[in-house]
Amino acid sequence: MIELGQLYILIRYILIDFAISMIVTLSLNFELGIAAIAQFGRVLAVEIGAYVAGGLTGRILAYTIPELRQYSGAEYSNHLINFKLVDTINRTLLEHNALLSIGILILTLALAAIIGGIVGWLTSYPAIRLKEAYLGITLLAFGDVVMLIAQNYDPIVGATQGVSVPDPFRWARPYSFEAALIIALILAGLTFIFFEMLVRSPFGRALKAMRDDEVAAKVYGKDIVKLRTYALIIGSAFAAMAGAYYTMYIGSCKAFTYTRLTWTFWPWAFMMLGGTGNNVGIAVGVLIFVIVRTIIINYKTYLEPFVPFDPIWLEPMFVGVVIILLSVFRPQGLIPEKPAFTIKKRRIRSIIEIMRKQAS
Amino acid sequence: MIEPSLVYKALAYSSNIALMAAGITMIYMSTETFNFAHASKVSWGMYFVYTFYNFFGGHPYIYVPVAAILTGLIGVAMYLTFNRYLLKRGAGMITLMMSTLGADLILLALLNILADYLSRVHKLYSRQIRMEIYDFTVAGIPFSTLIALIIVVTLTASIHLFLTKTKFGIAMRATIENPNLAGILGINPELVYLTSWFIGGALAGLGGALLVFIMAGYPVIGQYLIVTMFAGSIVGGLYSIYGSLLGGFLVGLSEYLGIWWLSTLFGGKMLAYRQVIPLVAMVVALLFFPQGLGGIKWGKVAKVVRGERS
Amino acid sequence: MESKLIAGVIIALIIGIIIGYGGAMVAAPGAQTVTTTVTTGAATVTTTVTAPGAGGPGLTGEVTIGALLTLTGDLASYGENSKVAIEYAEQEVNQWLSSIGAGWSLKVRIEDTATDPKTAADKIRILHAAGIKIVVGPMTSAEVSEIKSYADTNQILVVSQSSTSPALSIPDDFIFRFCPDDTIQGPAAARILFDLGVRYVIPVWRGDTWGDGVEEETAKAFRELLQKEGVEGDWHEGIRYAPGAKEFSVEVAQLNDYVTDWISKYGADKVGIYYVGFDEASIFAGEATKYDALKQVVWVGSDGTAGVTTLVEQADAAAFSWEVKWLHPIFAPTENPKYFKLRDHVMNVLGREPDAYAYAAYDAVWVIAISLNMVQDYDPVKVKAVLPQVVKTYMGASGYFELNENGDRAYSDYTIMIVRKTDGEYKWDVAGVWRYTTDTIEWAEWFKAYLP
Repeated sequence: MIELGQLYILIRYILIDFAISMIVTLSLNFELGIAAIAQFGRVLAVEIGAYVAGGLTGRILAYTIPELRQYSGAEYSNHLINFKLVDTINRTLLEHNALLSIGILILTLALAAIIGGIVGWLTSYPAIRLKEAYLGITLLAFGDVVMLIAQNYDPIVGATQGVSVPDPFRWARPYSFEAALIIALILAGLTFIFFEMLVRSPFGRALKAMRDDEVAAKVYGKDIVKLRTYALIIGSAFAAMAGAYYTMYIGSCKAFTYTRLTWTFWPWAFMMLGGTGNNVGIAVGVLIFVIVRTIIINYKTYLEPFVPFDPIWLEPMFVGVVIILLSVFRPQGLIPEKPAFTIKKRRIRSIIEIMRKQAS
Repeated sequence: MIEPSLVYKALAYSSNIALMAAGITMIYMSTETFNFAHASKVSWGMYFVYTFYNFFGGHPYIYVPVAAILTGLIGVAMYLTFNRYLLKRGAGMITLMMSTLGADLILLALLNILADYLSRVHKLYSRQIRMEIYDFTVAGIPFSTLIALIIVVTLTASIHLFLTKTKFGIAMRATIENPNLAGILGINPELVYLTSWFIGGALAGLGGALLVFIMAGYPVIGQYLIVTMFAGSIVGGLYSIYGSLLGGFLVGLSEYLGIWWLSTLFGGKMLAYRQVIPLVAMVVALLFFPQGLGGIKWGKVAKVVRGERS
Repeated sequence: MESKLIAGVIIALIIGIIIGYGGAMVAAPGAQTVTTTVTTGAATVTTTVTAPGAGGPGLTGEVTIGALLTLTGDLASYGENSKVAIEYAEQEVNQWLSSIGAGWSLKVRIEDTATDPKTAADKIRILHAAGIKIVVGPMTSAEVSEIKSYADTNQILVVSQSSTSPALSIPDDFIFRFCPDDTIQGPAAARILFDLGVRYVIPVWRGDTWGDGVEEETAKAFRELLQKEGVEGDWHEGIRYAPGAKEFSVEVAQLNDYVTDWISKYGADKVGIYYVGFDEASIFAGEATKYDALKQVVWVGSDGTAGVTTLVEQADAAAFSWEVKWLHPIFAPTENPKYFKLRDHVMNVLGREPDAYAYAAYDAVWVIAISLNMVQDYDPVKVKAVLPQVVKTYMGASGYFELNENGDRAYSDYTIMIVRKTDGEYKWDVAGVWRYTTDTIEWAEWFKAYLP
């Protein structure tokens, strides 16, 4: 027998984790799978988005309220001020005003996307000069450096003490979690449609051409530098939105939450599992990985009588084994990339048919 | 004034990072695998020395070679269990790298099981191991510094001899440069890959085993150090063992001297930024030399220095 | 077709997870299948009853609570101590429950957070989905604030044994903390420094949430104390080191520069070092032995280093600690039988003394168990209501204590611990007690000889 309430909690968790991870992974797939940029620093754009939500939105809100204006500077991120300040903003401003809350949510996401895009543009400087592993480790270093600075320099997001984030879902209480979930799913859906359309667009096809044969793409007059730069801007903007959304949903922003393991390596694993280059595959990959990880965490305690060590260590071990098995037996992912047709297959067939008739 | 003890530590640390970076480069050169499991291998190197010393006594330094061989064998195991198949299939860089990340998680879990065992059964303080107390000085210089420097120098020399004078070394170079051609010439590329995984793993273990005499270890210390190792390998140019030794050494040194200089200038709060320095050093180095130090045409540089413009 | 295969995989996973949860429910609280064993005279009757879902009065079966501990990461040794303490408390609670015929037993499900806030947030959601509504931990303030909003909205009761950030002192939330926050430790440390004649303090601290908080509060308290007493003094900008660092030659060399400078300005008797860190203190001490200036000044530590094994076991660190008479204030009183009982147990299992927070973790399990038994319902709201009362009547391993309006350990005297050399052996001993109510220190008789 299953208790429905608990299953509901579980599904709720899996879905929101799925939605946020999916946005990050789709953006990674766009840069890595479609544009062939060795993006080992996904965490960079994600954390930038998170710091925008944690450090900027609250300051803007505090600035608009005359009594709180004095705290909108560096003092904003002092933890002794911030926790109470954000609590006041939440209670007086956001709790009873659904429209304003949604407005704040959209504003934060937009800001995150813009600043994330700018960061993506900045990273294109090394990205067009360095190759493969060099580029990858440089981007990885960028991600770590930004995290280390935010973790040690208070005026950004309160260094190690962190800051609270204005809660744009509070108006929906007691269904604020559900509100966050529904909006996350909508965002993930829109991101999916966006990238799916982008891949099929002339721009997406140019990127694929560049990935498959850089020289040939150049011959056809494609500007490789520009293509790479655009891809980085778009990918980073979406990753930043996901980071901002995650912080708003968690309600607190701490610099060191944004580790390369969680926000770079896991998305890679999702992408590999699903199928690099294929958006549908990404969605499936993220879903399966999130479910499998939850199952591993949950079931490991049942194995306690059968293993001679603490079952806690089964978790990293199983995840590791799953990753290795995947790379050995299913390297192309569950759903490998297929040629994307800009028009429906049936239409192509009918055109062929017509041409054949004309020829005969 | 810089304290001499600080300089010794800096030299020992830099040499050990150089060894680890060389290990990463070794594996990358031959198999194109960017090995994230290097992190846990370094930690394992530390714990091998610690565990053997506590079980069998003697002086902990005698277990350093044992640790290197055992971590080398971990490398061999990784090659045989999955890397070999991936290479045969011509898997891409990302697949190769992800698989090592999986291996890293497994090695980390196993190391934690060992740490649990040591603390529960043998009552050892296994989550912070400190072997510095067993270090000693030779002519006023800490042995940890001396041995690390000696090993780096002899390694550089012996790698040179191995790759240029021995038959197998030449075969290795040939395989790395052109595996197909090597096959035609009757060289078994698999043996070459196996050897480089062994040497690469052994270098990680050696670096870790020596590092434990200057710095305390804990199960995730490898993950803490891995970016510095990568930085060393990248600065060195990824396709040159000498480059990686030099790169690792410079990156390690920049961390110590850089943070010393920064904290003298801007105060003790800067010390928390310690990890930033090797990363920034790497990024700066790469923007100037996109192929790393190994990519610099040293012959040309020498000519320029001597004034013979080419 | 491939797509069918994949669809099949997904469906199988979903079915698996549902069945798994069905299985999990048996072990989960409010379980349907309940086995009661009643002993009457010589005959033991075991009855298995399938009761309707939770909600009915009376706890039965196995009741599971969670524990989120830092078992990997650089705080792993603290997580390990807490784990042993929690498992011991679980065992004791179950003995007690069966001795009073309570009809239910306690199970603690321990999860690793890797000292990472995101992992802590994931784990509390997964525990919640497994029906767990009461959790011990997480251990760091960073993790607690990451899960706070979820715990509050979903009514999950959280009892942290070691989160000390004053920013989390919030009334009427679902977070209890069984250790005092830094606003209490600050004045204690400041008083110790002051009474030892120190007027000029150079702080050295770990640059994480905890270290930053403790340093900030102690600096504030020390400055206030200087002002109150009307004497000259200063608090140095200090040394803030990276939390992952395990080698301190640069840090100690820099500290030596600062200390030498201040000794020449103010005299060695007026300068002190305030060290806030965890078990890496022994590495720091090992490095500090190389400098003479550092041995001339007063050293004061914090509850992060009190009772830490590395400081007595590693010869150089122990000798240094004793030479400088390094004092470490800790909130738990040591003159209490439960303290010794737990200490001995941890010594048996791990071969070392537990840290202060392990005692608080042990108390957390006990207090939760007593509260559950009192309300006879696995309902965090009800448990939350009685928990402060239970704490008041409970004598714990970390002593007797009360909770304030924020649900934190209200106030506490501080035991001042020291590594003492007796008969050539280094052992932890008590050098004195700081009284919260009077802000005075009662030094132990033996230690008075060493006072300046």
